Amino acid sequence: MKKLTAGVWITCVAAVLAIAALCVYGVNIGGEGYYKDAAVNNFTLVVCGAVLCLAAAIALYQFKGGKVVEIVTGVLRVAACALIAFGLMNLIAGRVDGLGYIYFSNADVAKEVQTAANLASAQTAIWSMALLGTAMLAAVIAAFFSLRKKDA
Amino acid sequence: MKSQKFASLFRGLAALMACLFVVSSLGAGITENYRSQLDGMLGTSSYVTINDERAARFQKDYATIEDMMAAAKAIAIREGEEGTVVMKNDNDVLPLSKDNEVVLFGLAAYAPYPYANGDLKAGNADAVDLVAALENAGVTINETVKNFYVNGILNKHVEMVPNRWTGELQESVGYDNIYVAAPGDMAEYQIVEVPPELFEEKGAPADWKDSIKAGSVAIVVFARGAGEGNTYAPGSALNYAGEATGKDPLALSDDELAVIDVAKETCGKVLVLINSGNTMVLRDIAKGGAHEVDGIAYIGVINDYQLTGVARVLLGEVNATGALPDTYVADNASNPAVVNFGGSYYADYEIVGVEGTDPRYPGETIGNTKASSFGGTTTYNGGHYIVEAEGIYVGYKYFETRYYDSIMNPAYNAASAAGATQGASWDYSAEVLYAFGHGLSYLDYTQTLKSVNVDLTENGDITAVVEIRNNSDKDGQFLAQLYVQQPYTDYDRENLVEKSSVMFLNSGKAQVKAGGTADVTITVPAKYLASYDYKQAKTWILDDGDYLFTAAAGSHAAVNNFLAQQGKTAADGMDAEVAGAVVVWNLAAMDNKTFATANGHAVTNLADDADLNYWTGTDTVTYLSRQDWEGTYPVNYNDVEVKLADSPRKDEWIAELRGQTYTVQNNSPAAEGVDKGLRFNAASIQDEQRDDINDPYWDDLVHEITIDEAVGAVIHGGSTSDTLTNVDNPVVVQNEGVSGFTSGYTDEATGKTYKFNIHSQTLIGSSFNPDLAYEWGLIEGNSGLWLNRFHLWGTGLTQRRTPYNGRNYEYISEDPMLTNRIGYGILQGCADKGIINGPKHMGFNDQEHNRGGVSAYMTEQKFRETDMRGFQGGLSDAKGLGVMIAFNRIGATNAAHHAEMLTTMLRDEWGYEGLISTDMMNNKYYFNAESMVMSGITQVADFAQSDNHINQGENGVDKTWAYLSVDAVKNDSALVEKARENLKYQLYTFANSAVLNVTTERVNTWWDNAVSATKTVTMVLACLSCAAWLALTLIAKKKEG
Repeated sequence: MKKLTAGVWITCVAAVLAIAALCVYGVNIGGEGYYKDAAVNNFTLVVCGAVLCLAAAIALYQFKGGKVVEIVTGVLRVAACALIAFGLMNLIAGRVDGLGYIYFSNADVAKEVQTAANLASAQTAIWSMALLGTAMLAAVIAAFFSLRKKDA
Repeated sequence: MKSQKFASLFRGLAALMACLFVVSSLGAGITENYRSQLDGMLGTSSYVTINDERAARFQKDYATIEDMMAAAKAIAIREGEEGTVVMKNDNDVLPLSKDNEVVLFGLAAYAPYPYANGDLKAGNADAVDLVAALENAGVTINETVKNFYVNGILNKHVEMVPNRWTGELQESVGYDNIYVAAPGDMAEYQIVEVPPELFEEKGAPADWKDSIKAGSVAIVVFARGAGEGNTYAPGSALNYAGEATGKDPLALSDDELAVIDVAKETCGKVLVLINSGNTMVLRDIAKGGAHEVDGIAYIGVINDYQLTGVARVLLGEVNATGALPDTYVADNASNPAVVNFGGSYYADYEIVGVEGTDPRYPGETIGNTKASSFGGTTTYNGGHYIVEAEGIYVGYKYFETRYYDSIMNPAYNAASAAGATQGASWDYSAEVLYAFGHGLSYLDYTQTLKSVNVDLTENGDITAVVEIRNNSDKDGQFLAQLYVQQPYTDYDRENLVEKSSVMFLNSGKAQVKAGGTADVTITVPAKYLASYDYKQAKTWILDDGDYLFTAAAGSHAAVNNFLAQQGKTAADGMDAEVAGAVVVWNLAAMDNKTFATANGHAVTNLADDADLNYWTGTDTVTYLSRQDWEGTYPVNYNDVEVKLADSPRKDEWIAELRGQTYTVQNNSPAAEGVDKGLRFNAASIQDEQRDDINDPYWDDLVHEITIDEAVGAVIHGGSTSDTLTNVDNPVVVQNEGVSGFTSGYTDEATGKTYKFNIHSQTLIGSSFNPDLAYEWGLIEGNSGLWLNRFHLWGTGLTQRRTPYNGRNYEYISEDPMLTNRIGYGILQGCADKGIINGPKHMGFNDQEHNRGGVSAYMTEQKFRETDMRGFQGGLSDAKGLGVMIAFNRIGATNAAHHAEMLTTMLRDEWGYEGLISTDMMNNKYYFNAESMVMSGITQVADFAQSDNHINQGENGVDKTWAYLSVDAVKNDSALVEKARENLKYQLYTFANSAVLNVTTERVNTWWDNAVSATKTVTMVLACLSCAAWLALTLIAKKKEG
């Protein structure tokens, strides 16, 4: 196996983080609590699309395809960043109301709304956002690096 | 190589800018949805209000903000003066003498409830607590006791507590020992009163008792907290040490009684102040109690300035004219409503749940368990129920009627053991400590009913003249209360038309010179004399016979007047010898016609299905009837097995519990909205449009609204009403709360902020003064005009069914008519200043526990004569402009789905033309969008803004109720037309409010500009970076090539 570049490593990290965010999101909508069954429109599709873009970029770079490969992989990497950002913002839009209920209801109702299940659900949602935000950051950083070692 | 390096740089930049562009673009949508919240957090303003005050229809009454604040403060102080109730006054403990030192005991003496500022208490800089109020009035307070309470026991301090969100430590005001301000939801309630044996441990000097001078008067203040989502649980009390005592949390704890004992030991006289919105149990300190004190006074839930008025009463600077809005009993369990409280599951509640078979939610598993009222569980929340088997017999209507029957009608078994808590047989004098309407006056006076005129036309009034004779040598104010007894006939007994032996009608106050007399004229609509017969006539009836009217200092004095007039004496069991004047008005024949029509609409049963027996098909429930107190005394119907599957109406019942009150139809195409150029503005809306909702302008206007927006604007009403396309109505921001607008007014010249939420619902109730309520309404209205805020959820008019409801501090009384008259005053005052003041929470919010789904079953007589009557004064007799509907169910029907209540009764019978809002929608499986539209809801409350469409979800469906879309509703003309009609009422309300004073213009805040700039810059930079990257990549490859 060829020694992998920083670009590949960081891209891999971004992809793994995005997958982790997707898994946590799955737990969020599958588990008990406020967000049970509260799926976010196209979230899974968008994040899967981003991961596929990253994976395809790495895969394509294994081939010496000249400028076409260079441009296609570049487009895929930029698109992956945008897709992750799109997923993240949709996730935030779909979760902000509930987070407001859970964390910012007045003190009178705190006991009622801050059940263990609701708090766990809110925390899972926040973890999902944090993971996806980090994935976005990693994907952007990766885009500054080449995926292939310089030719000797 | 260089170009390769730069290509990488620009690819990275392109990725970064693309991300930022996506984030800022979608972020703009999120900020738009939460604009008002962001404005609140960041101190920005997204709307400029253009207000031509000279042309405005509603004008402020005060020229300067200082004048406005002074007027508001004056009303708040009067609430303290007129609402303080002297319940017990022996050994001349009251009025206090300034010559005697006062020793304050109890946590609430130094931190009256509520101690924290917020919705309930404004927190103006010049707020007055009890110590300051007494000292300002010239009273000397014992410093030793004050010091160890303030510095040792309470020890108010700033503490660092972790932020719930970030975990970051932040400053918060705390106390070492303070009463629990929120009792929680049927949880244990700790009564944190520090017992005297711990005083020294908490900083009292060993000789603290020696500091108390002979002749000192002890004032002991006890508080109970309350709050949204909170319900007291009977028997849940914990003591100071945190040990369960099994006692009622509203009863005085042993620790509190120990404080009383030490006060009695150290001071000549002891006065207890009750600082609570929940009726407490005072048996131990009342007459004959083991810890009896000299005096007891009720001071309700205070706000910034009320204690100045309270102090004036305690010092006798004004006469005591407050009266109890609730009955105080020896044991709360003696109230029949308490038998059915809290609720539990049907035996087979699970059968309501589905596993993928609800056509609205295909594939989803939806349960039927109870849930938090803030949602978060996939449930119809239709499993829990209570049966309000006590019927109309809530509070004094139960106790006084049973007392009356124990003397007048022995065959009714009033003296039986059923419901007795103080002995083997029921005895009024043992069960009741202080009656509804009770309140001692310092100045001796008599109130005598001189005349009564009953105008039996649809809008006729009862007009009573009460002579007040001031027998004292001081000028003063006095309270007159008007009561009636309706005949209880064979017809009533046969048809279960229940009658209270005494019914409060209205009250008034007057200033009377020493030794002089004054007439108080009290009016009240005559329709309230009628009773609802849900079995035979199925409408309002007036029985034939004698109607007895009297003026008396409370419900018990009134019923004794009736007994005396009917020839009874102490020898017959009466507990007082009285001879108060009774005026008899006779109706020769039963009248089931006069009030069988209201506002041109026939009045008949509309809540048959609120009765559990309707569903079970058998006499599962026996409702309390005075003709047999023993045989009909309520049992707990949660202990009776009720199975949905056994119902002859099983499918209908289950559908209702699933929220399928209405199902979208697909057989009648709705007309699409067409812009004809009409707009909502002052030029188009003249007197003829304002005065008549049937003016063609309104229909034409709402038919400009598209199908998408008509349905969307109702079901996503928000907490801010959005501007509708083709209508251009101003944005209307809704405001909390029951104490007044919580927003402050900052004077730009001085930088000083004035807060107007300084009212006390509890004290306005105990003032028994609808005129004062009207004056507060005007103040609330004026403050809205100063704040440029026109829509307020500014009072609560639900009946206090039991003492345990955590929202009782927002409500007025156990009595619907006192609530009705106070509501009338507040709402009319606001309406006269053009402010939409929506009372909470119409439709039996009798407990906060599981309010988001519990079914409250009852008879139609209870439905019409209790909670509904409380709202009727403000919404029908006054021109109230808004109302908020309760969370719970009435029968099996979500109150917000209840078309019969909201359209048939509220709109048709009552002639109400204002807006109708839900409480905060939080469970799409319980709140059904189409059912709310069809019931007449004009705005479903949620947090979001700019979402008045049903196409904002995936693939153009609704974002909350995904089975709704334009395609789904466009063939249901009834639904779409009802949505437009609801919006017509909404817009008509705005037109009749100060909203029409102004136009609002959206302006960009700094964060709008920042988001816009980021969007533009990142888009440009993303494009440029991409272009640079592509160019450099191609160049690099060419060079390589």
